[in-house]
Amino acid sequence: MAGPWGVEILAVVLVVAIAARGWLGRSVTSPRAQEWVTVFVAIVVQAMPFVVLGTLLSAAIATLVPERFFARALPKRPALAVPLAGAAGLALPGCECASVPVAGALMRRGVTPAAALAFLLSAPAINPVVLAATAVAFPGRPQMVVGRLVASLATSVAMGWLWLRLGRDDWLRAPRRTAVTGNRAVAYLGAVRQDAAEAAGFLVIGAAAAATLNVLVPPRWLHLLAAHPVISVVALAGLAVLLSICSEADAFVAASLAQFSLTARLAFLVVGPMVDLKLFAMQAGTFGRGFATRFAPATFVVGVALAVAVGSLLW
Amino acid sequence: MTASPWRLRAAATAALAAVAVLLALPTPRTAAPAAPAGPLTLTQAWPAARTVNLAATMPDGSRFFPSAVLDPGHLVGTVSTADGNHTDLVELAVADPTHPRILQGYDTAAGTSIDAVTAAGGRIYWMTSTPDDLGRPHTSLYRAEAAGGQPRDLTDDTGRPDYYGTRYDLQVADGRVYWIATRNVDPPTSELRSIAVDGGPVSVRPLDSAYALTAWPWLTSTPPLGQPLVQLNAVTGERRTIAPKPGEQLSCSPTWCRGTTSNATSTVITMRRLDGGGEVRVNTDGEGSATMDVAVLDRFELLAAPLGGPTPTSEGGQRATTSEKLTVYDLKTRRRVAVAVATAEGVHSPWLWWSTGDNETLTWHLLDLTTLK
Amino acid sequence: MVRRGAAQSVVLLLVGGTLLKIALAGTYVRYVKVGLRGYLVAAGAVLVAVALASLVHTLWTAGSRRAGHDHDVDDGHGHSHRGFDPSWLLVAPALALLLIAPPALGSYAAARGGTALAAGADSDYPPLPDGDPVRISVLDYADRAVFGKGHTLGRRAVTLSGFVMAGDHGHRYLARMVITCCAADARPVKVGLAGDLPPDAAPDAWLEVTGTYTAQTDTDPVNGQPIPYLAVTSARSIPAPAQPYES
Repeated sequence: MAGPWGVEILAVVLVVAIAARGWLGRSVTSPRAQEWVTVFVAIVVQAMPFVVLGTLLSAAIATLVPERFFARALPKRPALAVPLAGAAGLALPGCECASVPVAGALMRRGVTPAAALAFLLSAPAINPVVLAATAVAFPGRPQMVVGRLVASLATSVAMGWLWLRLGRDDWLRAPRRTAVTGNRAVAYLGAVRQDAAEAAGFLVIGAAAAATLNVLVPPRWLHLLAAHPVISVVALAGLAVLLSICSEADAFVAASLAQFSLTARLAFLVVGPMVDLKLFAMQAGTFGRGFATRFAPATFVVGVALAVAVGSLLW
Repeated sequence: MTASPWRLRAAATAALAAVAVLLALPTPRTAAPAAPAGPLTLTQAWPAARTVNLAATMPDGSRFFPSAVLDPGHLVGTVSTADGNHTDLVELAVADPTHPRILQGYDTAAGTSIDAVTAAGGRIYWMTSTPDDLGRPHTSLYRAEAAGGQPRDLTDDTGRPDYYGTRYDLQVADGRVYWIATRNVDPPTSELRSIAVDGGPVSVRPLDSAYALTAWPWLTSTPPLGQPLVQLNAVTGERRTIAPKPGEQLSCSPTWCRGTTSNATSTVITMRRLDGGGEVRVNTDGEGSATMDVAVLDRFELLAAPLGGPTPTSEGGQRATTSEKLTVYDLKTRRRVAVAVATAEGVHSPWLWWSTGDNETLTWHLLDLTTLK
Repeated sequence: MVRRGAAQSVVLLLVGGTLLKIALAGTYVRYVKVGLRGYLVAAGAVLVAVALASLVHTLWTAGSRRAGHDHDVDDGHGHSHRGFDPSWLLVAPALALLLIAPPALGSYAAARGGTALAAGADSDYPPLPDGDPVRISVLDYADRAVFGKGHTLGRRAVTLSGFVMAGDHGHRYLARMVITCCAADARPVKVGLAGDLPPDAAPDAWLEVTGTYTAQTDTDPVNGQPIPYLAVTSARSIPAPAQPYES
């Protein structure tokens, strides 16, 4: 699609869209189709400011921060760098959409993949905005905030260590390191453009998938699933994957799923920011499909297990 | 890969122009969801329509029935006990329907009845008839201030009042209260009676034939099937005769006539102006006139079609009470608008009301026809 | 690579421009929270600026004889030149926003979702604000009615606005979607209208209803949560409000 004719094709597509606008406007009339389009564009619109913030940061890391900075800042031993990077997630208030390009940029700048992945998982789950939202969504239940922080941090660190032990670099389409030549501003501009366009492009795939499930899965089913203690945990974790709600909002959704146990809802909160459809699409785009198909299921299992463990201690 | 720069520039310019056009296009109006099947409904036809809703059942189980509307917040009507033995004429605030102001109470069992109620200029007027020892009805005209105070007996000199079931039966105009009374039974003739709103002697004006009151100053005859209709101007004495079509029953307001033609299987209701213009059939098969009033506000014909079988109740059950599909025909735009499925309805221009629900959930809905714009 | 860069720039310009347009025209409230406007404007402006600067640079270097490798930052990211470029997909939401402009979620979505009360919240509610009738949100009414058992509502007349949703057995509800973040997390809040009211309002019609608290409730078939009722005394149609969601 993006061959030598890229701009020409794009111009034709846009002109055709203008010509067919009347038909397009009339084509979406069934309430279900309208709901799909509304949810689809809502996810994209909601995520765009965070994607832009994330790409501004990631491009800065890629082009403006001195190459050796992160290698020096983090402990030499990867096993120690992992928990530190995981804890660093407390500092970046952003959606999960922002953390994928940032993690990619960290790898390009020489941070060990295990530490970058720990950061990738923890940043959207435990940043201050998300924890505050959780506290608001569960008034009178501070255990939920604690549970979310502990289980999410534990999952991200566990996944980092797991990567150190089992991960193979050839699964990861390791972004090549570049020596930036020429004008730094031009390099930064190019990096922002490319990261923003690609991260947002993968976001579109995830948004489409999430909108489809949002519209197709009857909420009534959830009610049936909630009755069973084990199934309810897996079901809510799976729902988090499918719904792809941004991490600032998922606590309110969890609060509304009142028929489910607190442990099931904790699993929803732990898994959601780490594994979901749009994240999967973005990870596959940034790090390669071979990586995403291994990393995401493993994260899911570890996340559910640790959420249940933490939940059983708290309740 | 190295395409010529001018071609790249041309393509980029075209793409940029397309982006500019896309961004400059007006935001499309949201495509409405597929319209639900069925006739036009009230809020679709008139989004500004104002309805007032009121629970009909009082805490003690007695029921409210509207008679007239003072203003959108205050109604006049009757409250009857569950056993039907006692009725109060009340003024009631919509915001606080369980504390009505009782204007007059009477024993239904003794044969007393309230026959006509109207409201005008912040006052409420009504006729109450009570049988004497020999069972002959004696009718009195009363007046009460909407603001409060004791009702006043304006006169007992009411004659033998005739009621036709329209809001004009008891009519206030030019500082007087008017009503029609029977003067002679055979041949039938009427008399127009009136009294100043503050009381005084009753004026009695004999009429040459039987008339009913319609919008002041007009009186209208109520001819039998196929006979012409006569209207008389009570102020100028002007008289006009409207001829029916063959087999047609006529009833007319000062502006519109309703012609009803029935055969064994169907009834056709047509509306036309007094001069015969603007003729249109307004009903569908099985639909009849919902009120005696012709062309309310010179614009609306109210039609009702009985529904076969039980209708759903708010409890999800079924009820056996008959209900009707109430439709407004708008003579101005010539369209039919479904209003409600109602168990009862009434008109006191410019208000139309109807009830829905059953015992505990019985509710009155009052629609201000002047808001149908 | 120059050409891919140009196409990406045009796409980002389209997306950035779209974000600016929906944020400034106000239609963004159909999709996300009202408070996101500033962020959308900022994101849109950044994208437009990046796209324009990048496009100017691309076209300028393409015109110069030096067109080639030294400005090709993209190479440095190590992506395959021939690979699928996902940025094209961004055309879809941009065109959907510009040409379809889908409406805010309405009765179809509300009927599919279980009523969402602030479950388990403290039943300690502040007194209603002044006003007769007092205007409160559907969510506030539902919470006070269900968890506050109507104590703070008493016999006060309240005015709610929302859209009509038809339930089973001819029940009619006044519903409002509540969002935290965006329409993807929207949950309905439903209040039953006692007395079959308004009699004819079609689903999705916006109504302003005034009434008083009643102890009547029923159960949402979707999630089993209670739905409180309002004894409606008057109702009128209103145009869809500027802010379709409560939060």
